[in-house]
Amino acid sequence: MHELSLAEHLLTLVDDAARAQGFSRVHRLVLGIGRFSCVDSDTLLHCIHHHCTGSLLDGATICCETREASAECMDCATRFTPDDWPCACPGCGQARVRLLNGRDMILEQLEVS
Amino acid sequence: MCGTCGCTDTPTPVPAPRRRTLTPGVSLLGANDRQAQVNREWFDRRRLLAINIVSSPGSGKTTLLEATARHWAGRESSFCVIEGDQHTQRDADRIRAAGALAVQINTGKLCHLEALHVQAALPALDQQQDGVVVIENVGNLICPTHFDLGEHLRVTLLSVTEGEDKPLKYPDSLLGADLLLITKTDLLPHLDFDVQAALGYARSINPDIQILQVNARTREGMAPWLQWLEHQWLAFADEHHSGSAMSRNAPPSDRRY
Repeated sequence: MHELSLAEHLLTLVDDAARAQGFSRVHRLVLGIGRFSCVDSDTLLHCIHHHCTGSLLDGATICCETREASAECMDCATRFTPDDWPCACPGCGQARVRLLNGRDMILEQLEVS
Repeated sequence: MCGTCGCTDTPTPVPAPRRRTLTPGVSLLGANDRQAQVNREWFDRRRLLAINIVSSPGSGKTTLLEATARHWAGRESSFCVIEGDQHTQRDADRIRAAGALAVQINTGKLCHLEALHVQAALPALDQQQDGVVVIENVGNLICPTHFDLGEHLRVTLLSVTEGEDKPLKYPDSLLGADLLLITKTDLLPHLDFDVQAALGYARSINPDIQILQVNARTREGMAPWLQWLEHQWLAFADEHHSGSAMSRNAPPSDRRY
């Protein structure tokens, strides 16, 4: 599953940050997960906990917080907050809609020492 | 009293490391996306049009590429394939038997290709230029759709054995695609697959997607597929030879996510 790969990528990001910022322990980590991202947060958390044993993240509190999405109709330029994805434009009803955000998976915050 | 020297000084406590909060703001896919851009620039320098092919296992990707390789033989432009599978060299062997250069990537437990996998294949293609490189992704309609490999175009295959509502069930496989190929059309007389419904469902997800029907085994529909491929290659080559091409900083800009 791709959540396992993403957990590995997260650990690499944290290791890189530890070298750059000079810390040796993570106490808390916040991930901002776009509402329509490709991950299931529970699965991602499970993969992170499985993968981080013995790493900087061992014992850290890992928080996955959902971030809202926004979309734009490519026909009438209406911008809106979609309830589902994919979806039709609430303005003109057409299907040529693109997400402006809502698929990101961002390492937002690290509490370290 | 100190057990070392006998003094009665109170030891100075070592302060705990100070906690601080960092706000990296970096994407979990950032490293992959940067490597994908490096890959894309590698392809651009060699004027190689890179196409990522995604589908369920068994939709006919390798059979299509075998037939494509045979048809492409003898052209001035090159055609080669990066094969992605969990195990074995079987698909790369099939492409080589069809006359094209093929590089096999085995992902082991991983269910999709990432940009680093493609990077590992590039040295074997170092002598290639002026042509098409097809990346046949691991058979999987979900995970591969989320990883930019450095391609210029993405093609999704849907075989008629999978049901016409597949586009609705797996919308990400359509949203990021430039072309949908409906494959194994020789089996239609034996199935209840509704072709018009499949076309409608696909366009409800991605109104701009191009759709072709192809049967690599009987070669029905191969001509329009080859014409599409040739058209894409000529447009790409024209951009690069005229010097007007700029290496994209992102996946093809009309990808809707």
